[in-house]
Amino acid sequence: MSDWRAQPSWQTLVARDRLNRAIRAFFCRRDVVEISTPVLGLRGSPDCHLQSLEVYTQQDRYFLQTSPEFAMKRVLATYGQSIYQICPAFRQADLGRLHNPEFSILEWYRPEFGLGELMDEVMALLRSLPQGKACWAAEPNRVSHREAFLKEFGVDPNVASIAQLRSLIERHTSLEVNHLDHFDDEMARSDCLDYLFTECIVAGFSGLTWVVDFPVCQAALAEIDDAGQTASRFELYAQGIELANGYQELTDAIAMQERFNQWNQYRLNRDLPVMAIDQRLLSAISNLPRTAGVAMGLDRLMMAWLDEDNIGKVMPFVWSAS
Amino acid sequence: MASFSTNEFKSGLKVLLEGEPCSIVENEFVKPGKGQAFNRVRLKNLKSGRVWERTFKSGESLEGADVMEYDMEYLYSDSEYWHFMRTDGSYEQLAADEAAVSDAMQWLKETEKCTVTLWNDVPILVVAPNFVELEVAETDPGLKGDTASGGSKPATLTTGAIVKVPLFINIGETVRVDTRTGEYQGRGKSS
Repeated sequence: MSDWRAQPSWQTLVARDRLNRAIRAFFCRRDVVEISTPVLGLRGSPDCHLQSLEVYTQQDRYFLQTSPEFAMKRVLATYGQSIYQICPAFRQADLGRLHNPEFSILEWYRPEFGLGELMDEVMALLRSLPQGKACWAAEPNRVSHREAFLKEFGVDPNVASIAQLRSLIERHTSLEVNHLDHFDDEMARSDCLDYLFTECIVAGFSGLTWVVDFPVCQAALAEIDDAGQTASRFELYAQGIELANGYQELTDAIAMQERFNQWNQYRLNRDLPVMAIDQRLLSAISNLPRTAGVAMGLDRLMMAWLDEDNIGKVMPFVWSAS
Repeated sequence: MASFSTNEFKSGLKVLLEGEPCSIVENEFVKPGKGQAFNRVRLKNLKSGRVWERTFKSGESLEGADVMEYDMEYLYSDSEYWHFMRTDGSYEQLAADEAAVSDAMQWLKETEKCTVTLWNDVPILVVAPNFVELEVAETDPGLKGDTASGGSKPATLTTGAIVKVPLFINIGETVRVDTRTGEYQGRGKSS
């Protein structure tokens, strides 16, 4: 094989080192402790949109983590302290300009924080990076998923029927949409919402943008607000590319079990592998303090920081060149 | 023929979609994270030349299409078929039907070099060169000296194409035309 060389420039690798150091210095100043949890787990995430890679030993099957979320929550439930981790994560078949099946995550948890405080901390982190981007100094735009959806399509994302959403997709997109399946479950409805939001609203983002007030069906492992209208989570976008994803963490084990079951039902309906529930996580979750947590794609952050348009330009070897 | 999954959709790959041969123009993997992953793909239907955008479920696959493209020289038409010859020294000849030639027909003159697309060894699309030089067969008499007024008039070329030309162009002159837009580009070199 002749293409043995690493792709990025040496300066890019140096920049990556500076970025990692700046992140560690930032958390050190704030008394957030770096931890390491296993990359291989006996249980994977049942999230229906994340497919785990499997690793077999002589006795057992393990899953490469799709994020360090479950293990970190067990550490958090044990000690109740602020923690962060920089680690690899793996998502099967995620391959493209913005995706590599193996990528780096920065994930951190802040007990006693509300979502707003965590959002402030995310911005403080970005602004602490050396040779910061001028456009990161300004306050990011803020888009309420719920309000943007109501304004653009005139329907409430929590109650719009799947038929309504399908006809909106036909009216609002110029291309032939062929990937959405024909099931009528709540997650299929969520897929329609997500497609509309991505193609019609996120596509218009520029600069840094917060998205808040997610529909209830997209709560993932975030709490639902008191009015039951929105999921207490945020996402941060840079030029329309998602950088980070944060929750006011769900601490109700029963609600968590229900969401896992819903995901597994989605998997079952679509011939995707059903993921056995992580009972250790469920046992831990009721010991979780009120916490806000966030995961940030470090390769994406590098791309935004260096104005690169392809994830392959910020890592030495992409999947196909490993 | 092999089949190709969405992550193998590279620009130029020829695939079969709903029985039609298509060429992949562009392919982007999209995964917002809260919804189904998909690929946004631009394809060109090789029979109609139409380009359109379509989403595919990530991991979905399509059968490959046996499609070849050759540079060929136009020979003649017997009014049912248009005959072409390969320019690679094999002198192999092929006949294309009206459906394959449709868009190119009005630009074809003998010895013109065209691109001919074959699907399962049958010509499905003939594309004329981007620029052709053709003689004006019919047009209103030219206005002498009028090279600046910017007016135009229709002219019928020897191949039957009708093109808007400046007022000073006369019958028998050669004009250069962009076949993609059908627009007059200037006087031909041989005129």
